[in-house]
Amino acid sequence: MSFDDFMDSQKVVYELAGDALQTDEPSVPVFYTEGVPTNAEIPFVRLLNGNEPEENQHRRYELFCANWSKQHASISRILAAADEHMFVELDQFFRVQDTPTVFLGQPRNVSTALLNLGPNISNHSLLLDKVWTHLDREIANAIVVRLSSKVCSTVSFTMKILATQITRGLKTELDQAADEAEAESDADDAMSDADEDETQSRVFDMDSLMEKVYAKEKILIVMVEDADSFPTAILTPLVKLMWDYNNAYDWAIKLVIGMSTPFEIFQEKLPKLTVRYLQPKYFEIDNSDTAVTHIMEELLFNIHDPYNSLIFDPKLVLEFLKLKSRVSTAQFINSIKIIYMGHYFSQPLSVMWTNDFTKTKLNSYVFDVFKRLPSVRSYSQYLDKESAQHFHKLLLTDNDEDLGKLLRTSINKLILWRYEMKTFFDLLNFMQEYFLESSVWTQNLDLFRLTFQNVHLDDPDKNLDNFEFLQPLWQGISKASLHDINSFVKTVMEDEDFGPIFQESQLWKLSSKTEVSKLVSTLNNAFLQHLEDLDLNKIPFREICCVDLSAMDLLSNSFNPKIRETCIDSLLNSQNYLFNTMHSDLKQLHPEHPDIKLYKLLEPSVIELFKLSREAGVVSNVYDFYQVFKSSLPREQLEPVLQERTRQTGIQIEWTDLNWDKMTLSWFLKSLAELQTLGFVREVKNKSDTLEKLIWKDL
Amino acid sequence: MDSLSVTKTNCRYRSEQLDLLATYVRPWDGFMAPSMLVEGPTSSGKTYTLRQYFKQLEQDGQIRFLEIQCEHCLTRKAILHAILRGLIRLLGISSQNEAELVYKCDGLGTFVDVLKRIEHINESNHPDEERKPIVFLLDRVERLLPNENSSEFCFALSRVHEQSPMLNRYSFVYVVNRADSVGIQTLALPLVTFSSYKLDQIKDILTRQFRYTDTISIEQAQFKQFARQFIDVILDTYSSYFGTDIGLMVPVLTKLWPTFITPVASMGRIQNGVNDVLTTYQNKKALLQSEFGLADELATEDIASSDLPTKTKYILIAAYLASYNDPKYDLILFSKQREARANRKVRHSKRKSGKQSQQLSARMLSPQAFTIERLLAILHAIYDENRGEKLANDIELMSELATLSTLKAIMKLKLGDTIGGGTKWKCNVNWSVIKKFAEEVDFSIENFLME
Repeated sequence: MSFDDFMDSQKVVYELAGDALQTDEPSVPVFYTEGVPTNAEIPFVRLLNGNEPEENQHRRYELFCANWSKQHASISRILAAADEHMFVELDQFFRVQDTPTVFLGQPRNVSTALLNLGPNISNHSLLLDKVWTHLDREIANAIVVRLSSKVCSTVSFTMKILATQITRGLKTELDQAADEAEAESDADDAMSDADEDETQSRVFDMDSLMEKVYAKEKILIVMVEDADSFPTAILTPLVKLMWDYNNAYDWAIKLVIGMSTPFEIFQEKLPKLTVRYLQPKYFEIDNSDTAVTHIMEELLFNIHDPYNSLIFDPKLVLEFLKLKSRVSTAQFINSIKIIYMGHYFSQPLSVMWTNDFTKTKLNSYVFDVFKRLPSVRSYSQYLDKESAQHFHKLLLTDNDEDLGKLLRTSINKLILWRYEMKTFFDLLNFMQEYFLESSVWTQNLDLFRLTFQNVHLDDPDKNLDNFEFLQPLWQGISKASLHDINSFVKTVMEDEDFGPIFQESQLWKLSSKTEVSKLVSTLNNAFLQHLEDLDLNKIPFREICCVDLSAMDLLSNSFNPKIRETCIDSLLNSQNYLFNTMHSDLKQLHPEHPDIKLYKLLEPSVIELFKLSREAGVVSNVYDFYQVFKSSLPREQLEPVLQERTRQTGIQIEWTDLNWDKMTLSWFLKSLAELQTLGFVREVKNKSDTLEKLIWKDL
Repeated sequence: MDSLSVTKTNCRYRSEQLDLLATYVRPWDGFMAPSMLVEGPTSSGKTYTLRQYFKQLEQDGQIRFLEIQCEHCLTRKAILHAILRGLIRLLGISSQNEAELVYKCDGLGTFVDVLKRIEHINESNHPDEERKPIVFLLDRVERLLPNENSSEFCFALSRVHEQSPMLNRYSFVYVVNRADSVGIQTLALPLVTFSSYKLDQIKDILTRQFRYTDTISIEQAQFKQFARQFIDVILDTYSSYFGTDIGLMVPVLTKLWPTFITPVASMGRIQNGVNDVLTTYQNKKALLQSEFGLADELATEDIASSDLPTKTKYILIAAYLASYNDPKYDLILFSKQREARANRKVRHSKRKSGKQSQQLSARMLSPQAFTIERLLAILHAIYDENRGEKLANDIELMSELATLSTLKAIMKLKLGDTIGGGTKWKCNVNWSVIKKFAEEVDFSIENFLME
């Protein structure tokens, strides 16, 4: 390459691609893929390009509402049950009487409950509310003061909040007393007391407040909600003060400190001298883990009313369990809810997952969908050659009756799926109990995780070692006596639930211990076989009620969107956003509407500029950039449209060259600033009037 | 017996100071120092002695007395309010006036006016009443918030009596650790200096204060003797740590007491060579040699650390690395290019062979500030390499960073332009915790630290 060639290759050449200017005219200006919005009052759209029977659209919404409310009710029940046990220890702590000190008049440390709220701070407000409500309600004679770092910015302000809340605590007490007193028509006394408080609230006096607290024989519980976020400069004097008052007023103060970092980190945050004032006790208050476990178990193993809950793919459940350390219980429940929503919103066949078909209508489009389902399409690969042929024929012809038959059997399989899994786990639990003294797993969910975490559903040969974790169980069997083993075999074979698991690999009565290894391998094979039967992918029509891993994408898109990608996507495909039926007025999206006409010629200027910047080189001159921008605009076509727009707004513009330049310059500067803010370009530092491209991805 | 001698019997070893005090405070002669400084180290009995003396005088009907814990008030305004409120109650002025009067005082400027008004009201309420001196004991007046100027405050209060003849019955007594901390020595105020107690005196005082528990079936005299021995032994053992601070001694004694008394309680009597103080001391030597008695821990039992998500641990590790590594080594430590990485060991060892002994380990220094972009770059480098999967650059990452900053595990410095980027941050978690996290996520952090 000669030097000139090299120089040429480095030159920036602006080239305007003619095609890029012509925005593809959307055939239908409204942007939707499959769902057509209707005038119905429900938020659901009519699927199958608007060919879905209207009844089904309503029915889907109805089913969603009914099923989700049932799920939600059972989740609430679980959460309520979990809360009950949470505070038992804490209650005891507050009831414990102080032991006498070693010295006379010795200062006593403040009884402090350290609440570990867990690292997941999104849970905290809920948890703290629960703790507060509980303390307020359950501990008699307590005034509970909540201090949060969000409002306690300085020490004096913290004191003020403390004082206000104590006053309020005393006052509510007074109000109650006043109510009672009024009933006895003796309200004067209490009222004057209340008045006194009113005037006092202007100037706070902790001493007299504490005196009142003490005189009323109350205890003051100071709850430092997020001790981690409190500056030490506030926490230290606060603790000291509490310690002082605690001694001055006969130990009437208890501290509750909520912490969310691991204990090791938190301990470093308090000075040792402050720690000396505390008499701490540690409480694990975060029960979201157990609650979530229970919810998942309910979701997986609830074999009653199968129609009311969707089936979650085992892989999805495993992913879900990973989620729980990051999100709050509420968010976790919301995730489940959005999965339900997404399913009923976008799946036209979700109406089939019910035992009441009276409100469901089927038309030819629905039958068409039946045949196009991925699960139905891939079904043939699990069939032998002959039935596969038969199946293909079925798909090609319009034999609705046979298709209906297949549908019915498949739905039956889906209904039984949860039951079969439950049976399988029951069997394993039974075996563990029968043969082992110590347990390998304690909960069904652990067992679930052990069973499914290494499963390769696409390649059954890789699963041969899947039940490796049962090794202790196999050893337990080989150690058991022949009688025990035989009675186990007998029980299992006679059991009507367990029996079907061993349909293909029958168990037999052992005649000697040497057959044990054979029995073990038979069991293993039976389990593997059953695992394969549990593979949801093999059931056609599973889309009706199964949610697979793709739901995780839905979750991350709705809750953790990727910022940069979304940003670029919106710049590249603005019509997805601008013409979205969910937030644009349908009437305005008419092709003859001036806005639509304008859009066809000129997208929002930042998008036009972004498109140009994609074509530009690394470094470009601002003036060149502007020139290119200006000349890229189709002035002749734009002017009439803009004129029409200005006429509507009543602004008079003369379409001179100067005005055109002014307008394009203003667009250019505005959009350039926006691009800079978005981080796509920046000014080159030591070179004025030059821009540098910052983002390379997808260009 | 007069007030002074009564107090002397109550406050042992403090007769010298009391004599001096009585020369400045002689209400029976009609002489009261308008303000007075009392200084002395912690736990030298300043407040206790003064309180005893003034209470005794009050009991004898010679003065009126009010004690104010300035440390609780935090600000000068709050102290003034406390003084006024106390005074109003002392003089029996109705509570409706109280709020009004106190509200009027918003600083030193208006304080004197309010004082005068209170005097007026008092005079009109009780015209015939004898005007007794009123003593305000301002305890720990130097321990206000840092921006509250306590010397100015004391200065102003010392001049209150000059403002009006009505106010000459007030006396202010400032109790401080060191007189020069309030900076009013030039006023030539009367000064009473308390010295620390001698160790023997402390032992004596502590023994007298020891609570006799009758649940232990030994006689009180024997119990006292046992307690004295216990105090002797422990105080002598830790004397270099305690100095003369009773505040330090009491918690340690309390903590160790069960170790000594339990053998006695279980046996029901004290038997030499079995459960007397010295034998227990010998038996439990290991306990006393450890930090058991001295260290104040938040929790004695082992606490299972609440687990953080893996990603959060990585963020903290990355923050630590960013804080304790010089940015110039980033290319060597975190670059994906093989060339730079190959040099890692060489440079590492080169540096090590240098004058290491003269250099302070970086871990001993406070964390260095880093920009958020650097943290993210390091995080991506170590996460991608160690976990074998890409770290998603989504909102969650940012919200997790925000969470950690709320929890003060990493701290944002108040420098730089928040919108324009380039904000400075610091890691606020110490090495032992980071090390533990690194072990938990199976990340060999030592390889990434330049030392």
